Amino acid sequence: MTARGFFSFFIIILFFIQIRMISFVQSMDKPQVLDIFLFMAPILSFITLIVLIKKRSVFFNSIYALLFLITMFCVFHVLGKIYHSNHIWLLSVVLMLFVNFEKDLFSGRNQFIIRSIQVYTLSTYFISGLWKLRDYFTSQAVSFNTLPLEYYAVTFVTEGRPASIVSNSMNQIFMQNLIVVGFYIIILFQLSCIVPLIKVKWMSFFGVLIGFFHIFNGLFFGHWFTEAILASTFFLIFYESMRPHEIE
Amino acid sequence: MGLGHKVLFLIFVTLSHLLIPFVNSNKDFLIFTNWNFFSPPSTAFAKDIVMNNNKSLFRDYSMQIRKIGLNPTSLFHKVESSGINLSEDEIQKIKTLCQCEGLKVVTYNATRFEYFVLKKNPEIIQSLLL
Repeated sequence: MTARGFFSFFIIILFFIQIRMISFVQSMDKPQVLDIFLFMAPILSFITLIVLIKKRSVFFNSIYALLFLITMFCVFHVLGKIYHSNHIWLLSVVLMLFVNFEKDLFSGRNQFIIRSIQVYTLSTYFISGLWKLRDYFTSQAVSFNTLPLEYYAVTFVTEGRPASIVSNSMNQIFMQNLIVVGFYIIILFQLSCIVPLIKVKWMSFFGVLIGFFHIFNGLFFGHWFTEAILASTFFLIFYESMRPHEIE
Repeated sequence: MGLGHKVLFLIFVTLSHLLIPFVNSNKDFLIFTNWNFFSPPSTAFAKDIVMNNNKSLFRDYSMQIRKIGLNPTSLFHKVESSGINLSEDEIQKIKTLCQCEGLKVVTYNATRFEYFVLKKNPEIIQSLLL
């Protein structure tokens, strides 16, 4: 399969992300100039990307990179630059500009680029686990339970809605313990994300795990990382499952 | 990408994420990320914006924050980290939401879990006018 076929799917995913950004601006009462730009830049970058897939040229590469970076800058500005999972897409789209669409998806350079995205994605999970550990040892939380419950409370507030299934039963010690156990399992899972960097054959398996991890996050905490689910599906599961068996 | 490249990449990413916050005092890194991305600030006390009708923004109006065009995540972490460093636009939107004038950033003697989730009413440690 050529890289062009693979990245055609990318356009479809990117389209959904851009729809989300556009709906965010539409939800505002009085959009400012920057917000209008936020509305326009994804559309323009989307159109440029379609042209880019059809005909690879340095000119369209540059225009697309510029528009996409402006889009992302606007998004982070509007969203307060905090807790945003689009950073994987930011890196992957910039790296995507170096993919040769005419060549095979698993040719030397193309594989190197997609491996870089995979390494970045998985190291982000690993580092996230390290930061939670760091928090555990450095925070003012005195007991084993405090830190997980604080994380839960932050999600509860920032999602702007009652946190789904378990919210009303949080007074029960059992439910609190469930959150605590879940939190430490998450740390273990995030730290284990370093494994497929060494053993590539585990890549698809961890892609599936990451997908489920975020789906459960959404169901139990109401905290959806749609972009992270898509990125893991696309770059970890989908890419590896297309690999011909005779190679590596 | 060989094993050597991957390990090198991993070491680079890990070191940059772990060491730079100590060098630049936990400020933003480049344009696209913040160190809070990986973990919420670990203060022991809950903070909230309280209106003069004694209702609180994050407890009583959390469902409405998005509807007035504010991002609850961004707003929450601004209140947590700086307290009173909200923009004029944000303050105006909150006032429109509660139909009131006086806004205070209040720090409570309770963890976030006790205050936001269990809805306890702890004593006030600090109260700052916006």
